[in-house]
Amino acid sequence: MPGRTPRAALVTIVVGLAVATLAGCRGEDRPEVVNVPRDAKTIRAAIEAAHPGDLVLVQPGVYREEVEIDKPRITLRGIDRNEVVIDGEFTRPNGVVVTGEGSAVQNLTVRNALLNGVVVRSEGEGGQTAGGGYGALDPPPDRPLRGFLVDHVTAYNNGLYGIYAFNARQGTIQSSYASGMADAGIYVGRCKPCDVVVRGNVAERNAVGYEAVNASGPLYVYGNRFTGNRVGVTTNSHRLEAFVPQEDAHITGNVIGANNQELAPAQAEGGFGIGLGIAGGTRNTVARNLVVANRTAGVVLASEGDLAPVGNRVIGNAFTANGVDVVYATTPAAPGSGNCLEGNALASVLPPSLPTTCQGSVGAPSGVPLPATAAPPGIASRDVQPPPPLRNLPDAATAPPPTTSGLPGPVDLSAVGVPEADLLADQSTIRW
Amino acid sequence: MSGRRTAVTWLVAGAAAVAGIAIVGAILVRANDGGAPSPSSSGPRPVTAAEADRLAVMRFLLHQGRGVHFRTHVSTAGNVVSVAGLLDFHGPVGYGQVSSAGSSFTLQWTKRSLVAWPAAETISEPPPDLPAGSPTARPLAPAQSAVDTVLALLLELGLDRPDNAQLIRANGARWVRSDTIAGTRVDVLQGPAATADSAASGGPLTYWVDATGRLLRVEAYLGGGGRPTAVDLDAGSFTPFPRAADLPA
Repeated sequence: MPGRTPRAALVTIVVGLAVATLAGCRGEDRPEVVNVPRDAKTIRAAIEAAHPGDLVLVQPGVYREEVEIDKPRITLRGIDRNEVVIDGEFTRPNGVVVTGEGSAVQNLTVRNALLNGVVVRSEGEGGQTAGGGYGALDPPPDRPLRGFLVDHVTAYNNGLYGIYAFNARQGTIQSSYASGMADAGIYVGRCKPCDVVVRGNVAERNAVGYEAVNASGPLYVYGNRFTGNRVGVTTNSHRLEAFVPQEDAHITGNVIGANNQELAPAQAEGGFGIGLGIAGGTRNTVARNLVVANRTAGVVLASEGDLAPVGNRVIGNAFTANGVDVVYATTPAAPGSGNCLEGNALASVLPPSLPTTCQGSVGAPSGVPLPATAAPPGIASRDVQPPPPLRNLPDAATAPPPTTSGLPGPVDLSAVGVPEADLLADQSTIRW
Repeated sequence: MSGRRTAVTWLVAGAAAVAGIAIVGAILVRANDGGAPSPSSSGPRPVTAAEADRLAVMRFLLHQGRGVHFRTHVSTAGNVVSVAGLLDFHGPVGYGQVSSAGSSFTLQWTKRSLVAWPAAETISEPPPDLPAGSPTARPLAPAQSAVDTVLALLLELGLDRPDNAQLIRANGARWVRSDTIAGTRVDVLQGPAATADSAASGGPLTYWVDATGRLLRVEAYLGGGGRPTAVDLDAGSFTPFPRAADLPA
């Protein structure tokens, strides 16, 4: 292996049986393990030493560095999710930047980054000039990143987003936790089609738990716990990004509760007490969620500038103890059409005349202003309480790198029902 | 006398009218004065991801530091109005001395209002007590006054959260050149030229940003085709100052 001599000196061969089996043969394509700090003192150095397909396995410690995974098919994994910490110290922009296709981040914590905990993005988005706004430019000329996995990652007290996929497709964000972000805990932006799954995550104590802007289906958000934020979920269109309008997301079987958190950063537009909002989104399906104890409103359908909510369906959700269960809050400039409710367990809607069955929706209802709820002052990201100990990836020390081709894989929502209130509660500090 | 008259005119009536820049929520995304900036192989180029990160954090860093000293000279109606003082981004509130051709005022302002004392006070370190007497109050009027435009802009330079680096980059932010300010190497970066709702005539703002994202200078075209207005910032030794009791938020 002359070509690997420099690396052989760096990399201790500690390939587990499963990894060796997966690779099949020795040589350039065989996955190897780069152990931090044994083989490389920093994660950056380990990424530099790693080859596509390799596993960078990180031992417990606080790593004060910004990591970029700029090679394809690298898995960055902590050996203990709660004890392997990448700390931005409020000076570095990001914890982990993923620009290599098919790469994975697993089982570690990213905190105190000025911008994002983990950001997955294509390398090609620079240089566009939207002289006429993005609506005039669709589709953008750049190439999305394809293939990513964020799994069992804890992101907290980062300045903007916890886990952020931008211009990235064919990926999964799962079993992760996000708290204390001044914008969204988990954010999927600018993809059409996205081919993204967001499942089994907890987002709490953020300005917004989960947010998607111009992120279109296939996009499945299911089995998550979005509780104790200021706004639980938003699915929006926005003209500052490509791919207007947002379309065809499924938001199913989530707990969306108690999004009235005072000890969280303020939402940029003052939102508070809102479970789920669709602003200018099209043909989204909000189904079989437990929407509970959101002080202002459970679900809000709204306009975003000139972009109206169109053809969204709110179906089979269980609403409990919200200020108002469903509010149709569009403006005259973008009144919306074709939205409907069906089979929900709900107690109140605004306007009161809003049809509660799809058969009943004749014509577009007139929107009403969202009921005013005074938002208490927010607190800084860095002052939000840290997360509880969180569940580890099974067999983190020995499991082979995950397969990231073909993500996110098939999704069957038919078995996803309305969750119990304690869904993922052992990974959460929010009760109501 | 003409200088005093100019300053008085501005202070009382906000009448030194210049086609102002609408101060929008995110100053990084500004109106372009018609058409995209033309790319140049030798000059401006799209920002790198790292440069976009620095643009994204600069306002947040200023806010985290709470305050900054500033100094600027605004050309208006044939005169130059100098403004220097302190910005407290946690207010947000500004405290400065305005002078033009021998006359001067002390003022405090928020995003909506200003109060001014028609007597010069030297704002030293630590800041003095507020000037004696009752100040004159009026709404801040950036649409009518270049000075007010700058005052409003100054309070937007700090923000309680970062901007989105991906959107900054995707919306056309550009690296212009390298420069040095007081021995610190900086990059001169132009903000996005995305569309805005207003028909404002100002171009994108230009920022002098060091390697850590610290903003040392910002430059804005206030319209009318004149020279840009530059604001120099110094984050050293900021001390919070007392706030005028009758200054609305």
